[in-house]
Amino acid sequence: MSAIILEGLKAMMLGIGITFLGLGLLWLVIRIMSIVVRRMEK
Amino acid sequence: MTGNLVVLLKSTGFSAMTSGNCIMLVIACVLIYLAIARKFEPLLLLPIGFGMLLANLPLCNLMSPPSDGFTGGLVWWLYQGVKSGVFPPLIFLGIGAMTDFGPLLANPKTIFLGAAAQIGIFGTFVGALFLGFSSPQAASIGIIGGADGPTAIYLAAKLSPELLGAVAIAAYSYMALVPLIQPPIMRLLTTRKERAVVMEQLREVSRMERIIFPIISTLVICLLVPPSAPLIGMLMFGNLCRECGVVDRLSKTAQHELINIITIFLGLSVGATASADKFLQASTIQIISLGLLAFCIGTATGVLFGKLMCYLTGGKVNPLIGSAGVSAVPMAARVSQIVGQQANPQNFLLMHAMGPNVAGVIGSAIAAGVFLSLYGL
Repeated sequence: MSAIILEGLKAMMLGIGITFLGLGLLWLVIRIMSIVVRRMEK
Repeated sequence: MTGNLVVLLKSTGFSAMTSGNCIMLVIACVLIYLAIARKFEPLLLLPIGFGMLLANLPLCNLMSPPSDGFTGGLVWWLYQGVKSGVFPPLIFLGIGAMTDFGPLLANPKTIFLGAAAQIGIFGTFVGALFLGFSSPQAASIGIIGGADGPTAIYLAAKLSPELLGAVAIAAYSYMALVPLIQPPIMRLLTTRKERAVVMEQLREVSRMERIIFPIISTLVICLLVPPSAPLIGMLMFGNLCRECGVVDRLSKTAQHELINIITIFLGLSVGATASADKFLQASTIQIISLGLLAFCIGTATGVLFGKLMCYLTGGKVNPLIGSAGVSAVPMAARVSQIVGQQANPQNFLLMHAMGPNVAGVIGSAIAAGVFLSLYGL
């Protein structure tokens, strides 16, 4: 039982990490895109 | 004569009715009542309730697979669209065509609130493991915390179809109960001063940014978490159709006819999976309780992350918008607006809350992709 919970905790940390990484990457890309597009449109 | 009457009576559904069927018919009628009288997510609870009613009528065989000359029940055929994972992404296509990502593009840091609110999914996943569910089942239960019906159905159909009915009903019920569940948690975790914070007006987002966003987000998310591609790909394609301005017919079809047709098929077939033998189990109560826990944790972590952002930005972010990170578009954003206005009538948080709200849709699709990577493929 404890081994399953331990595996679950690892999966939880991985899941939270990937969700933040994915949305963090998206944030970075949006920031870069906004800067580039606004410079192009000036 | 009497013999014929007995044969006729035995061929009716009444003779084959079990107590389980009766209970399920009552539950189906309660869902239909909630959808019609209380307007609780009626677009989905009504077809789900009616699908449940159809599936629990004995001898009708609407959910029976093909066998020995029988071509298969009507609802069984519809269910193949859920089982194969086709219907939920098509719903996402319609959602994408209806979604305005402008508030997120104008204030992209709110994307992290959408990520924080997904912690409820993973926390509940561990809780479900603790109660003895298998890892795929625990993942299907945890995803209820994403408050995103199509994502929950997509994941449950792939990982644990036996729980699909309970997971879908819990997900849509809690989405309908957002205005009741979230405000107490939001008030508990914030001070009146924090709730009264007025945020700066959002900047205008150019057409070019709106067009580039769905393309780059598809690239970034689908390359990072490939199993989320069916959901994210369809969501972003729908949004591209909306924003590019050259395929209005496709955009309107996705927003109206397509999503409506798929909603009927999806709702009926998901409801029909809730047969008495699968639904009337102790595990259903555990799933419904864990779903509520997932929802509450997601709301709390979103608000707490909002408080952190409020602190880091010197009071420029109202923590209440964090609760909208649980998806449930646009209901959760409206709740942020209402609770904010109670603290300060001059506060207009709706558009600010739409940023984390739509980020939550992307975040829950990523979480589903992570679970599929771990347990599904």
